[in-house]
Amino acid sequence: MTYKTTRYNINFSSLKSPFKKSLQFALVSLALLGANNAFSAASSNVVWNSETRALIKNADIEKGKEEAKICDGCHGKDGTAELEDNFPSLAGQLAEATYKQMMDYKDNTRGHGIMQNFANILSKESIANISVYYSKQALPTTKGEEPTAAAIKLAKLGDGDRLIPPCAACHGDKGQGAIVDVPALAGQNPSYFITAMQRFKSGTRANDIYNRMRLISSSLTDQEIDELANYYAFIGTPEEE
Amino acid sequence: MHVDGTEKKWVILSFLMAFAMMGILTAYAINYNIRPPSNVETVDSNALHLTKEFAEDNLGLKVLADGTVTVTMVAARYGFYPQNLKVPSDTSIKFRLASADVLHGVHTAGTNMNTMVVPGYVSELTTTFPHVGKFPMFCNEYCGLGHDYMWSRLIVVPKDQFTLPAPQGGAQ
Repeated sequence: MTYKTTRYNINFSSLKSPFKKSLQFALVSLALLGANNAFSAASSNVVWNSETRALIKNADIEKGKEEAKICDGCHGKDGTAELEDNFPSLAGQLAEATYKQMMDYKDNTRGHGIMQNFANILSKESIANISVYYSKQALPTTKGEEPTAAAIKLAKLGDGDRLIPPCAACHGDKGQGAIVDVPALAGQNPSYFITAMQRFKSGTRANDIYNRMRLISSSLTDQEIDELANYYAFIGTPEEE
Repeated sequence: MHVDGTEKKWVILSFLMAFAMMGILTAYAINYNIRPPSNVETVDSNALHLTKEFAEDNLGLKVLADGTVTVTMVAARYGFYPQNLKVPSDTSIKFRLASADVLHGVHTAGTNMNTMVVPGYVSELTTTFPHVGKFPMFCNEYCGLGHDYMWSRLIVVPKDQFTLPAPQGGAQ
């Protein structure tokens, strides 16, 4: 029996002769050098290696509680922001998510004048302490109106035709966030939610690795973004009777 | 130990069958050129977005200095990037894939473009797409809650209607 060439022919080029392999290596290196010239800044410089994880793991919540007081002015006491303002609530947010955003402000991969100033005066350790402190608070309470059917569908099923995965796939079915640094959305201030999505949509915010949120937000209509903002605000921590 | 004659026959027969099947599989694998992808090349998946090759701006189709058409892709929860990939038909295309998080697989329905994407390694495969059209490209290794939704689109354009980018590392 001879090797049958089909139309679907896979060649695993690494199995060729040693000479070809080294030639290939040289060419790939050359190509990489070429690509190097066009290499621009990464969307984020945060790497979840053991060092960064240890920083979060060893954070001091008591210190974080003290250090977080400078955030109160905008992000509210214990991290629940006022509704009419365009500031995000930080209460219940994943420590990794808050940490990543602060580090992105620090090296300007996420631009915001005021936040960059705060990120610059805080050390990596202080940022970790504050992030962990906020992560221990309950998610903000429910607000907004009964979500629309369209919003629920997008959040739970996405839209295959537009290559939109459901929000819940990454952000959790209760909007609680997920490993490593996918932010919690439940109870989030809707005006902030809309601002964040619109910034991704226009590309003024681009610290999402591999375009993920930029791709999704640009496939959503403004109305869908507004309805999703309401949906996530609504599924916050239920009000106590 | 006493083993009944009939039982002994069945034991021998089962062993013979097992060996025969192994033999058939080996012969089949050799004759049809079936082998595991053995591109053992490591990459730091944690910092994949900071590597030169798998940086966000370096993804997609490009032509190397020797004329090899290469597609650099990243599999990350939950999608393949670039999300919409256009390639020419009847052209040998080398895919280089890496995972930014967990174990993924990539399979393009209706084609033989199929490989595992193991974190920490670069997966490489070369294939040709003879049919023009839109193909779904999806993950075939369970990677988490959004696994069902992890798919992107491959668009195969007729070769004569596709303009390849200028080779990299050559004349600008």
